[in-house]
Amino acid sequence: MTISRKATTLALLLCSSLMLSACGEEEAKVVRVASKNFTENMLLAEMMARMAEEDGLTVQRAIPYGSSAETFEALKQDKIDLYPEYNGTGLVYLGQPPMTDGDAALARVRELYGALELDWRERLGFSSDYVLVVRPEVSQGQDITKISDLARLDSVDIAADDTFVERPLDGLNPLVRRYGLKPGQVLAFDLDDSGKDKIAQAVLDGTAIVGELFRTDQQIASFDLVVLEDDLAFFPVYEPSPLVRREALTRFPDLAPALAKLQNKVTADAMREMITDVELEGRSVGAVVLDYMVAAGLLEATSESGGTSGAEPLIVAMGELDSLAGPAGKAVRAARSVFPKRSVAVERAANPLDLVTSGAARLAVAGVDSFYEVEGDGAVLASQAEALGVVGFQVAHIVTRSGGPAALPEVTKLGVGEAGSSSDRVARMTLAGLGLDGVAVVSGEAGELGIQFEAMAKGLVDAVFIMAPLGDTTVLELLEGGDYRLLAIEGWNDGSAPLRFSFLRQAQIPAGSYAGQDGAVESLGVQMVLAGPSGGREAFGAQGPGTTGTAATQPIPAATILDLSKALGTAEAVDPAAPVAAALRPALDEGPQPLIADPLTSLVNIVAILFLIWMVYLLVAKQPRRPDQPSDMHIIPAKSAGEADQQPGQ
Amino acid sequence: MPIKNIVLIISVGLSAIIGIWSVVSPDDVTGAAVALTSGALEYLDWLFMLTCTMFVFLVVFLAISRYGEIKLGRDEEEPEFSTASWIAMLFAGGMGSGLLFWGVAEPMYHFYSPPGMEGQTAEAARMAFVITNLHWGFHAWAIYGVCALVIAYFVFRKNAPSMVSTPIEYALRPLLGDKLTHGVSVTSDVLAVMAVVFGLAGSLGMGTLLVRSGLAEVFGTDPGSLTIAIGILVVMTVCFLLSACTGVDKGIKILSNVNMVIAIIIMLVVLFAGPTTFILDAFVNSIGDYLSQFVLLSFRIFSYDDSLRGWTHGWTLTYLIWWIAWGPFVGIFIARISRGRTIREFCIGVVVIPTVFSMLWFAVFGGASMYIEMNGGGGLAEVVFEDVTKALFTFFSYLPGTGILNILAIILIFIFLVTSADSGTFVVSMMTTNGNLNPDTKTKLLWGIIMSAITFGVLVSGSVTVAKAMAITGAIPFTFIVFFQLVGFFRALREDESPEIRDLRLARRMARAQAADQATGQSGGSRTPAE
Repeated sequence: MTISRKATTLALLLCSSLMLSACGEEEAKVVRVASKNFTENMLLAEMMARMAEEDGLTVQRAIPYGSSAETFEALKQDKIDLYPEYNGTGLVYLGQPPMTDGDAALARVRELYGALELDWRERLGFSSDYVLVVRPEVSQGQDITKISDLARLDSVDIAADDTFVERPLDGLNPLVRRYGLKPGQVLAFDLDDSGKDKIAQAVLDGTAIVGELFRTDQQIASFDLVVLEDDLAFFPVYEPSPLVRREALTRFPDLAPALAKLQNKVTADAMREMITDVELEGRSVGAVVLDYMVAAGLLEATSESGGTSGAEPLIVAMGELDSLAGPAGKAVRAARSVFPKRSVAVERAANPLDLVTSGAARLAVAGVDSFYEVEGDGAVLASQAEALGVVGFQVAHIVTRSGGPAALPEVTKLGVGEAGSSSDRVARMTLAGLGLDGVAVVSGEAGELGIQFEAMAKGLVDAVFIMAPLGDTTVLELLEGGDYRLLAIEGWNDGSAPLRFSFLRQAQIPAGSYAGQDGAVESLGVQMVLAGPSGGREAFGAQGPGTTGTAATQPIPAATILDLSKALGTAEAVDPAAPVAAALRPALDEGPQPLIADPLTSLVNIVAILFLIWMVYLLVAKQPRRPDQPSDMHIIPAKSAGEADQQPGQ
Repeated sequence: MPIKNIVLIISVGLSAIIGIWSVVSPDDVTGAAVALTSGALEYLDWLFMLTCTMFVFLVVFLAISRYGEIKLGRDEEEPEFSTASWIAMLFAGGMGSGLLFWGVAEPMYHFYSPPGMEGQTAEAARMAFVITNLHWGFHAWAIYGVCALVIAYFVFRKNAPSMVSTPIEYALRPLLGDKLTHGVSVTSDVLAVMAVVFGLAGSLGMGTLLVRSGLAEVFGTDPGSLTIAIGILVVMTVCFLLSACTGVDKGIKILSNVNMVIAIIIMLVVLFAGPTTFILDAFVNSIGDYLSQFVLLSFRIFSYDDSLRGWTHGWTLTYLIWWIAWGPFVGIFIARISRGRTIREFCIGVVVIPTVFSMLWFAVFGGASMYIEMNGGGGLAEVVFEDVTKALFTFFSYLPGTGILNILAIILIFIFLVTSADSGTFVVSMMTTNGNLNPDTKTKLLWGIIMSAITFGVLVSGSVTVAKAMAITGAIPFTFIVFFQLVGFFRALREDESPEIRDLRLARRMARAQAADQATGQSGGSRTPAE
């Protein structure tokens, strides 16, 4: 006992002394790595932080720290030790004319920043210039390929990030002046708040004609945007390298060699891929950088993962064919912005809702049809999931070859996606609704739409039924490859179908949506929603220990549902056919309540109070004296020696 | 005795009917159970709140009053188990694996959405610990303590059989009359047997699933496999039957001690490998917060806000009723292991020590996870909201030695289940052998197998929820039984005295008599100061 007590005391002393020493020297021992508030810069900073850690330095991360100006100011004021900066930006900060030659620019900033006791280290190997982008239709339709072409427009509505609007030499206003543009509306977005997506969105939906992005931004490829040529060489080069306080370099002799290892290790393509991983796939910055550095041979594969990778990824389930460029991507981005501290991973399944109800995924993107099952004549609600917000709308595309059947009733064999997928289900519902019993439905394989097209070429099926958002890239590509036609779904309103399959809504595929489509095509569609596990049976209240047994799935808290719905940014409400989360249902004001309780309440409470009174009576009542009392007890009389003592009253 | 047979017949019959019904149509049963419970909460929430809080004050009263001297046993008797083993068994029987899972989850939960205030603030962090302690602290253990005390007193001091109905039979018969006494005691025994059987079936079913998800987390086995679940159940059954055959002084005692050691090891690892100072600060701070808000929270129902009133039902009252539901089982078990302790010792041992320990436990696990959320990488809270069982293992992944911690945790859960099943078998066997304190092995084996069979049915039919709902619902009528027990207990207590008190009282009486003599001896007038 004494030994163990001594050992404990010793251990405690040891622990506390270690802690004290750690506290005392913490300030001096930690390299403070920061970044600006956009993905590329965060990735670079994380890379630098990891490299420093790999060489035995202790790192404190401030990733992200703030806007460009804020981060630079923090460095000057000794709040941070280093962050990734671009040589072009470095020139602009000091009011220097922008340069297009990277080497010259670096030499110049090194010279200039020496006075500030700041050091530009080795460049990482790529340039992340500003670019202006337009929609392909605008580029083709109005023949705009160069920035100077914009000068022809009467007014240029531009979408840009906050920082770009502020920049005095290579920002928005200098750009407008240099090219002589007639500025229209300026939409400035906060980079912290998925600004890049909003810029791309604004360009896509025509709110702005031109948008400002980085050359490495994934949105350019994802949304098929056209980059305008900088024909007057206005934008300088922006090659990132670590910008470090000199004093930090002397304090940490290992820091400079560590950072030097990153020289020329990142290409623009690699950076774009990493940004895609983070912004579209929803992986954490730490995990993406770790993977890249291991692949590039900068780190051993066995390195401990850090940052947020300790937490389980949040899984978003979606159909096999859902494209991240479409509504499904919107859902992933919403999840990422609502759960910033978790990495978001995508998993695919025939019916994504199954993953949610089994607990394998937290969220799912699915058509409202997925909540239903065909039963008898109609469809019944079958899923335990509930809708949390609207992400889009998907439409039935019934594709046939030019020589194929002229209308849906003439089809004998209809190819669909894998069994249980949205196209499989909606196809069967459509046929049932129209009373087309003669059409055989042929299920395909997971994620392979092409197989059904091959089957159609071989005559194994007459038409292929696809559920996809309008203008879905997969469908666009497939239809461009051959001579195809879309079949209409007609006569839906003639029978009772709209009542039996209430969630299938009529929609038209506008003329010209796909290659060779002349007229609008009547079709059916369903709303696509973001779904999560419903509370299931609320055992005893909506939360708490009583509910934990209900399933592997816990409902998503109401506040989070509201955040998700907001992050999706859809004004449209969830289709009433879908079970919607309680948090999204309007709260009803119950109005004045009657003062008089209902009889049951009164009765139950009266009984309870009478019971309490009875108990008090039983407690205080005098013991009735009865001659036969002791023998009346069904108790074996105490046989111990102390018996007489224990019952002094007898 | 004919009465016991009636209890046996009725409870077996009812168990069979409800058991079969809940396998055939689990939805109906759960629906009925939930309707009853939420109805009771809707109409009588004040009564349950008041009752449970009253238990706390009763325990305090008993500890400080002169009744505290009374021994649960003969006056000269020594405690049967060492204090350390006693406390270890209290924990194994009373809280079990729940502590492990809610240790991370509950403080996180309330930190994120505390009732009536904004989440994720410093204020919310403090409130989270207060609420957690309210649910797992004095109230929980006072409920157990009261349920155990009323039994232990009659069993060890009055040599009565170890039955739930004993206090009623013993002390209320003259007041209630034979017929009513008989009715109430049969009802209470039946309710108790049913509560133990269904509570354990649900708890074993749940526990099996927890172990399965733990194995899936650590070894990557299929998290949905029925075969694995049944395998776990079989291994567990073998273990607890073996343990049950050895009797309470060997099997349960050894396992509980092992469990306590593992639990403390895990706790120390988290404490010293995690943010040590932060955790200890949180612990000290939570003591003050809990104590200063104790009275307020013990009566808080949020009567002016309907949504928050629902919160009280879903959390506080569900917890309290949960503890009452375990009352007959844990009560009889705690009573069994508390022979030879005084009421004061009992109250301190069963209420204060476990409460302080669970406060430390929650400060360690909750504090560390809150630190991760506030100052570290974060991302834990959302996992908690997603799946409470995952939360513990995810939490371990932030600490050094993750693999070892995971395995220790699985072993711990497993042993907790074995001890629960073991003590449950023991309690039911006592209740069906006229309250025999050391029921024969044959009966224990019989009940052990029955319990496993029900759990098997629950697992195969996937109706764990039903068993759980049944267990909680049983607590509603049992609350009223506890009132009968308490009244009987206090009536008996009034007549009882420890030798010290008796000596003291006799001395006082003599002094008074002497004084009276002197007073009459003197010439009337002024009263004596001796009075």
